[in-house]
Amino acid sequence: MNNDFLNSHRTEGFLCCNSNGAVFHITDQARKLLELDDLKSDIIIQDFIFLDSNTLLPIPFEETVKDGANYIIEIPSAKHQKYISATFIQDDNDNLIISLYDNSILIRKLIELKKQEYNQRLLVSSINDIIFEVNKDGIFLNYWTNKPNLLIHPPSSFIGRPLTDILPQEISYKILSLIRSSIREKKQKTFEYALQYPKDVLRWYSLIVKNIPDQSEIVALVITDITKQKEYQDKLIFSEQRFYQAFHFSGVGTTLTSLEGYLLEGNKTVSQILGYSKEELQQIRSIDITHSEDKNYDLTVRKELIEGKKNYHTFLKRYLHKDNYYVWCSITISLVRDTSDQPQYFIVQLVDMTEFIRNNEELKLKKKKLETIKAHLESKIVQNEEANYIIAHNLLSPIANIKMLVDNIKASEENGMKDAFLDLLSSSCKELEETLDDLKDIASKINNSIQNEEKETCNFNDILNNIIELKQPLITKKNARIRSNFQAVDIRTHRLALFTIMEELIDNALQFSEPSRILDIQLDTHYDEDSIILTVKDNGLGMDLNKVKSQLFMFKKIFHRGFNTKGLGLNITKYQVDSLGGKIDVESMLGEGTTFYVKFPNT
Amino acid sequence: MATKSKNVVLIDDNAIFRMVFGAMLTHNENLDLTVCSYENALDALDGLKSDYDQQLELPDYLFVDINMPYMTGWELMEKIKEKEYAFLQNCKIFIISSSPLESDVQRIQQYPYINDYILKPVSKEKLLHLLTTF
Repeated sequence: MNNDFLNSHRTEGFLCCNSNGAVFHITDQARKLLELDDLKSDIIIQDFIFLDSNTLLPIPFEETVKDGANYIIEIPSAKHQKYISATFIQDDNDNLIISLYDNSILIRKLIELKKQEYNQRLLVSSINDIIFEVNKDGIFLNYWTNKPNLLIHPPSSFIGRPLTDILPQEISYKILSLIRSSIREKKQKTFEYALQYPKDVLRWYSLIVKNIPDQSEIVALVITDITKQKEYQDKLIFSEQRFYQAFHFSGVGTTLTSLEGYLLEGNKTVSQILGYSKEELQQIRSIDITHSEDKNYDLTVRKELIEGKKNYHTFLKRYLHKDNYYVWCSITISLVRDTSDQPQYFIVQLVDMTEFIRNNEELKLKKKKLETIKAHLESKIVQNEEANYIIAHNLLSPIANIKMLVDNIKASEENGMKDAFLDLLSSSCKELEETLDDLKDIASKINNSIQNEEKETCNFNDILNNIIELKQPLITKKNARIRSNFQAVDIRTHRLALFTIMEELIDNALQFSEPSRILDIQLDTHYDEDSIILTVKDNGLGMDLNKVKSQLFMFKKIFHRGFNTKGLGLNITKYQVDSLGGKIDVESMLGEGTTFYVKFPNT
Repeated sequence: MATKSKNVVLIDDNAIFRMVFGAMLTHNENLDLTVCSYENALDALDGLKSDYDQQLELPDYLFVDINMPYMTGWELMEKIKEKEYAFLQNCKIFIISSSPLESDVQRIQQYPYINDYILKPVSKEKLLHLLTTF
């Protein structure tokens, strides 16, 4: 091997430049290393990028021109980045000789390592633990932590010292024994302990003893502050206990029910309400002991909860008690879903409402009774007022006449006058008698039709036919048309009372007809809630109700001139309707006709 | 004592009362009274209106019963409110009834043109007293 051969295979290159950086000599190898064209002559050192050999960060040129400095030149390349080591040597003439060699392999590795280091730093900085290196005698050898403030003692106070000096005895002995068993068994060991700090602060730690591969004398202790988790756990235990108590000792029946309706869990109150034990309820679907009328609603509610239309729902339903009677319950039902929103089970809360419902029903009944009594009393008051009116106007009037006549007879001196007054006196007595007879007549009609008769099923059509037969002469005379449409065919009531009511209303229509037109009388019945309404409509004279309505049904009231009427009929009718528990009303237009409405209770 | 004859009109459906009333007022020495009566309010309204239209003498006193067919005394009082019959408000109007009911007695308060409520039976003296004082 000669020198030429060695020279031609040298990997090192050289270049020389003046203090301004202008290159005045360069070897072929250097050209190759720096990837410079053979022809390129005016080369300046400043054209290259110099990096610090440790940090690999660029260096300003002023700093590069230094005797003995060692830098890396980065050569941009399409394939692999090339890194050239450059060492500066200054000669006596202030010229610089720069020795170059290819250092790419090492530098690339260095770059790779730096990347890894960076990643590890990232990783480690996210760990909240403290890691100690401890030997089998419990002596602290080293530590790592991202947060030095996590250390209770300064490192200088524990490095090289046994953990028995640092931690309370009961804890340090336990850790020491764990270290030894971990080494012996080659297994990871864990331990939790609490440390008491001033101001009553207690902090919890978890300690993991970790084996280090290929190490039989040293372990890693990983210590984590778990105070927060502990507090949370305690709270959880506490709330679970509370929930347990709330669930099992609640006065409200509470169950967890599967989506199919089987009991998963239930408290004692549920068993008390329904009569079934928890075990029995686990074999029965809730729908199986639901009143048939409440089943559909119950199922609808559960469906709506599953579909998410509601969060919870409260309603009343009947459960079949084990002893075969129904229990009214107010139930509140809600659905529990898991974290992925899948329905899991229902929470059903039951309150026994039987007593409440029973009281409520009783109240309703009592209210209805009171209403009946009130209506009865009101009609009595009206009757009483009417009686007073009759006494004041119809009875006291002839009595007043009698008194006046007696006074006048006493004072008369003429016999002729006296006789005239005596005749008037006898007429007055007759008048009084007639009034009393009318009153007796009313009383007997009302009493007879109600008291001496049982309620029976009465057919409206039959009664109408009877009346038409009876009234045929008058109907023929008036040339009247009587039509009917009985949607309510029958009614259970006192036959005679119904007969006289219908008779009077037809009679009324026949009497007060409008002579210029053919009399039409229309009778209808229809159901209205708990009642049957009878309508008798005519196209007769009609009345101005603004004037007469208040007195229409009163004793001896006469509104039409030129008719042979005593004004008793509608008065009796009103009493009869009252005594059947019904009501009578009227609509009328003067010159057009009249419609009477009679409302009968339909029992 | 030469006084002008006074017109008294009674509206009452009771024939006996009309006769007694007439007898009490026509057979007296001190007052010169003309008594006219109607058996119902409708006839009275017609008759009085026609008198008024013919400019005949109108009643000085109007005695009205309450309980009458077709139109009660109270309905007549309502009629008098109407312009057509308002001329009757110039009469001295009395309600004359056998009803002692408060509901009737108090009702005259609603009509300023009613002078008083006279309860039947009424004596000749009472009537004469009314006719001299009002």
